[in-house]
Amino acid sequence: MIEEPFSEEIIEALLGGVSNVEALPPGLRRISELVSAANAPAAMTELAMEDTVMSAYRNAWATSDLGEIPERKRSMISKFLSAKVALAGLAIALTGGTAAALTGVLPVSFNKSTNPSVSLAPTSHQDSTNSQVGSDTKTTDGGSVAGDSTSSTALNQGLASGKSLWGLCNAYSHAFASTTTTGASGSLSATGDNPSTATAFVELGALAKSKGDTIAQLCATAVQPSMTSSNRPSGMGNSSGMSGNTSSGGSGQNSQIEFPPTSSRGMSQNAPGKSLMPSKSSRSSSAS
Amino acid sequence: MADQLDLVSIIQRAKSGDEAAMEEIFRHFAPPLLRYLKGRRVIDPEDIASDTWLSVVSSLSKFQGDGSDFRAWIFSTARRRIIDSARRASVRPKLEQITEAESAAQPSDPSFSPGARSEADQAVAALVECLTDEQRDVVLLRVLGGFSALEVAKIVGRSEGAIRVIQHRAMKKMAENISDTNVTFDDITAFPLTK
Repeated sequence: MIEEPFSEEIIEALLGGVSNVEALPPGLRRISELVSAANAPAAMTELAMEDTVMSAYRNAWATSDLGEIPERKRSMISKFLSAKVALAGLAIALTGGTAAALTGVLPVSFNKSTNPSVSLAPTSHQDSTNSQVGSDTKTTDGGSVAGDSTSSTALNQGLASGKSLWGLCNAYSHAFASTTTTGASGSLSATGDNPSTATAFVELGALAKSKGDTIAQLCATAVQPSMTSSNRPSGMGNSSGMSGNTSSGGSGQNSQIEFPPTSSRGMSQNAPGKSLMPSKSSRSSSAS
Repeated sequence: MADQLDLVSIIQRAKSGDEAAMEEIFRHFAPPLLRYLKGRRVIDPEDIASDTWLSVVSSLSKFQGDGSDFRAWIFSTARRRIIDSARRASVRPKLEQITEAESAAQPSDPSFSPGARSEADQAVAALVECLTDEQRDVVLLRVLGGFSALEVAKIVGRSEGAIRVIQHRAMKKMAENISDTNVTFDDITAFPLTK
């Protein structure tokens, strides 16, 4: 029978494996032998999963190898895409602004949202009566008129340029003609709308007054901007008539519009909202 | 043996993708690990060993430490797998456990026979036969893992003193069951210890 306590030294020696088993007391020799047998060299069956482990090792190595690069690539791609998005936004902002400046046409939603006071005529007739007025306004290199008409200072600055003045005068003549025409039928007067109360026209009158002229005199001095096919808006269906008019030298003053519209020029003949410029037939007759 | 190998350089080579180094590690640690698992009497030691190695292999690139740390890492991973396995088994229906135990005891493989157990397995089984699970764990970590009492304490999460108490009681039990002759305390203390 083994008596307690075992010394720590003996326990450490037995668990760690003693070299001289024969020197052990018979009672502990068996334990030592079992410890030695437990640490015997590996049997083949114990290494049976070597192929599996090595395959897993290869896979893990390949995955970790491949896993790092895409992560780096992903980071680079995200950075590159961010830069591209920023550049694209910048390009759109720049080219969009340039396009708007070139054509003088802002997006409809932008016009509606930012320039509610642009309409040269009362708003109730914006859709019908003043549709042509609106389009004419755009032809006046309308950035200054359409975009800056919210303040009188800006409007006057816009009117200071001949193009804007010409366009506004053109619109005024149309509005005046429309009022006259529709007023005859009573549709416009019935609503009590008067184009002369439009902000732009008020400003036009103020500008004329500041120069000691009437609107008609001021508009008579307005110079028609040079119209090219690139900046000619689609709404100017009669623009050819304009050039025809100027080339025909009806008034003898190039690029000037006739103002005020006279009934003899066929205000009643022309449909409301149409240009005051002579029609093709009148042009051809004048040319002949 | 583990101490004779330059484990640090082998581990570094294995971390850098050297298959031969990984093979060396496996051949060195696989047998004691499997014997440890069998000695712990888990239901499917090969399965847990496989899980342990897969875990080691997949996390090898993150390992930092020396050879002793690496050895402790492998056995700690195996211990966690044992705990997980026991936890899973505890929530399984008892009938399934019985079926599993029966199938494990009598595998369908015709080449299987009880005598196919290696001498090492038999020695481990005989060594820890009479011990509690806690004692078995400590003794096997010391015998098969080659850890000191302090290292076992770290792996198990106990104090070194507690481990010494456990191994002392285990040794007493082993001596009582294994020894075939009466040995007195005087005989043991008089024994000249050499390693």
